[in-house]
Amino acid sequence: MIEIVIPAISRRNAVILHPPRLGIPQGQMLGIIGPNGAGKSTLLAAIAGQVPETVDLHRDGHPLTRQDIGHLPQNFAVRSTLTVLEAVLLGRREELGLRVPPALLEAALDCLSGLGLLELASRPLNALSGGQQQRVLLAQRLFRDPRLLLLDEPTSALDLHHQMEVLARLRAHARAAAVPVLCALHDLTLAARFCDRLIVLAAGQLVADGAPEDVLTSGSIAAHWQIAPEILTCRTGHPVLVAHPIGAPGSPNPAPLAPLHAGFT
Amino acid sequence: MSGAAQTRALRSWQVRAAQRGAAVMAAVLLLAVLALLDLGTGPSRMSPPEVWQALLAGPSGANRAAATILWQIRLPQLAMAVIVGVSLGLAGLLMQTILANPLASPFTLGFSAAAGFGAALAILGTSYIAAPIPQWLLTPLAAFAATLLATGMVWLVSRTKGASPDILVLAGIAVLFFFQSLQALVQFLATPEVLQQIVFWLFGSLLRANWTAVQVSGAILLVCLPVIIRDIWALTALWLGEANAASLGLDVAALRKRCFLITAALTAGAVSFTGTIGFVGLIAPHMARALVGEDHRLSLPLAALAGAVIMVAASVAGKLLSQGAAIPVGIITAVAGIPMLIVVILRHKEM
Repeated sequence: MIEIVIPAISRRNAVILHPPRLGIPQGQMLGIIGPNGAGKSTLLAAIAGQVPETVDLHRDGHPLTRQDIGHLPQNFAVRSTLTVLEAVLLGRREELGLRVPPALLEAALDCLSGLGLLELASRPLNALSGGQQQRVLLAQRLFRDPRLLLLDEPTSALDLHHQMEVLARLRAHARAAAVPVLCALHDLTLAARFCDRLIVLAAGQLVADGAPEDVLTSGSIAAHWQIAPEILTCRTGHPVLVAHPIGAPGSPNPAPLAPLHAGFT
Repeated sequence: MSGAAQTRALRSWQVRAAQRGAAVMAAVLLLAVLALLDLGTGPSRMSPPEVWQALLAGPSGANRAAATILWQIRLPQLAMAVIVGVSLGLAGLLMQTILANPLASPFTLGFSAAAGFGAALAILGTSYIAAPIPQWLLTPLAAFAATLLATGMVWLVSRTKGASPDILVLAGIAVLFFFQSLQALVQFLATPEVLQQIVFWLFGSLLRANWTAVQVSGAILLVCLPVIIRDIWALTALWLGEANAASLGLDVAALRKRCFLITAALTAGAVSFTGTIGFVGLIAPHMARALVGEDHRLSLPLAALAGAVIMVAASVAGKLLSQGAAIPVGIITAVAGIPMLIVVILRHKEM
């Protein structure tokens, strides 16, 4: 169990984030959802130790340091000419000497292979697309093998196939390495499908916390996202969210325009 | 399938490593050739066999004239050229890395202007009152002290406003103009004879090199090297951008401040004895990164070697172009640096 105690974070005399303490069991995939400006990125940055306020982090009673955390910020874009393999190796910078240990090199290649990035290994980062860069930097954080993973919209630049692949891989990593994975996500359907638990932030406050089906109710979605939601159930039993503008003809129960992710099976 | 791809990736890594190693070896070889050329050229027009004999005979060789020329003039000048080149090459790469700016150089934060002011003040001062220590030592000491003062000013700003690249560059520009103005004031107050001395110092020349200068600048370089080597992977990680580096557990602000102090020490050590030598610290890191990329295990040594190669080549060119009195290296590097700078700008499309 990882326990996080976050102090109230204020900027310009306004409290922008005030969640209470958070407890996350090992291996849990926790989705952080909420509208723009709700405090999702601030929450992750605070846990990562990148705000002046001190955040208390404990794992089974032992304090965690910045070194134990893998944080993938939202503004990940890189202009570097380092190769993909070099970038992934940097995930374990502390273990690299003037010579790269062969075992580490092999482990880095395995990690790339796990995310389907092996073909890109010797390509420079600045020659990759945004989505490829995002996957490489995610591979780097996974290679670091941290005690706690904090990912700020890890799928923001990815196509649908890779969104699903990456989230499935993250959930598998959480289970296998027994580490908690905190993901800020915008896509509620994906969040519901891949997260074990969701917390909803609105204006810096934690307004809901629980299993996806309990958190993502029509009422809470309408209140926090200002849309008229329609929640369908796909063949696998996962909820699929269809969003309509509030006040559209026939809402909140109009004929579905198009499901957000039609190919969800 | 995956096994084959893995082997391919590994192979490509090894080939790349070999290519980069070869680039460093080639630079070492080039430096060695240029060093021999440098020892063989000079206003005294010693023949290559004479130079060779004087080198073998040692500092107290029978041929006094040859021994003095080689061991008291050419060798310290060569050693100084290498030390200055290495220091400026390393300092330049550190600056470009911590400021994330391809146009940064050791002089971006105003260190050279400060050194120039210190030297000018010392030259002006000794024209009025006799100094207790010799001029050749007083001028570098004053230049060094002024550089430390400039470092302190930038440091104070970064202490209060943080060590982001923007703050460092802005503070550096303020310091640069401050010392440039003071330097102009000193030049205005100086008599024509003193002014000439000041201007000659500002050119940057190896003629002032002697073994004491070599020892001092060399010692500063040797002290800085292990600190740089310790941070070699951290510096490489910084090329991924501040947010990414920080999220790898790196204390970016502390790394920046550390490198900024090392740059100040290296730059002060390099320019205090020789005067301002432009463009080496800007061009050498670019050559290194173009050849071996951003892995600092190779780009740092190569930037150092490229700096030394440029300096020694400029020294040889200065002596060959003007047989009587060698053209100061600072002028050569500045003139040759302009076309190189344009190449750098053209290469950075997305700057």
